[in-house]
Amino acid sequence: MESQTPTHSEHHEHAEHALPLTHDDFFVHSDIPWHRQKFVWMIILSILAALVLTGISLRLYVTSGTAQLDLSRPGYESVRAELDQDDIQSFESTGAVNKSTITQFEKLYDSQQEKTKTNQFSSSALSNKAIGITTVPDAGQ
Amino acid sequence: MRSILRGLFFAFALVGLVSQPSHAVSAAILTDAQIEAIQSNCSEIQKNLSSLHMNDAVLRVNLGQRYQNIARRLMAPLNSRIALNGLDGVALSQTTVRYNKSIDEFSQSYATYEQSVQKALDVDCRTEPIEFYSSVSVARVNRKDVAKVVDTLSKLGVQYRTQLVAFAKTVPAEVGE
Repeated sequence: MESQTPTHSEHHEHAEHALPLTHDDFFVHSDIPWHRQKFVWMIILSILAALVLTGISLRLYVTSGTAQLDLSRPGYESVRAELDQDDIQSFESTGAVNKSTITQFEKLYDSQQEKTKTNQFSSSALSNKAIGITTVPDAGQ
Repeated sequence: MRSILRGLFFAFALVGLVSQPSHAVSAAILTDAQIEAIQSNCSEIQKNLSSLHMNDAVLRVNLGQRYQNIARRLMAPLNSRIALNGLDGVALSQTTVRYNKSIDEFSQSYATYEQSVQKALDVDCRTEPIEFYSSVSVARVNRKDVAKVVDTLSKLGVQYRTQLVAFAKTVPAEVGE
């Protein structure tokens, strides 16, 4: 049985004789103006809805304080490694309460409490000297 | 009629004076030399402030996480366990409530502080040195508020530990077993 598919040379020959493609070959021509077409309005409204929702989301992101906790923002790459990665063991909320369980709790509690001891929010970190305003005297310091 | 209006005027003036924020920061009085110093060291000052801003963000996240761990994973389960065993853990529960409230205060005070530092960073100290210094002064006051809440949380943590020691003395070795 002979194959009906054109050979490579026939394809090449056909392409040489074909007319060049025009704008109308790609786009369906319509007499309806763009502002009367539902598809165009669907695209415009979709973009507007996306912009409004993104704006609301960003607003919530900033006002809720989430932005302050989000260290994946640009500029925080250098300090990301300093974040605490330790996952602490939770104390069981059910079971006996005796000297042994309290001792077990105390160990967990003391280890966590120790980590909260800090004076890094001291006012000296924001003093004139600390931030480099050397000639301005610190008010009340 | 005029006396009534005068009375109203003084009343409004008085209300205005009384309702001034308690943390109002007095306007910074800077000499020309000091203003010049801020302007000339501007880039260095902004760099230091930006570095502090980033370090504070890490500190806030780490500290907040530790406070939450203590409250949710340790204090709350123990209080629940004490209640389930029919023991008196009221004092511990009260401290936990205050601890949780202070964690919220910590988040709020840090948010206020962070916004004030960000505001100072947004001010161009070359062109607006007085405005910049004023913003830094506001940030200092807000930082003190954060430090105060951190101190409160630390004290509450110690208080809970002390109450736990007192509670442990009342617990017989075999209770709940």
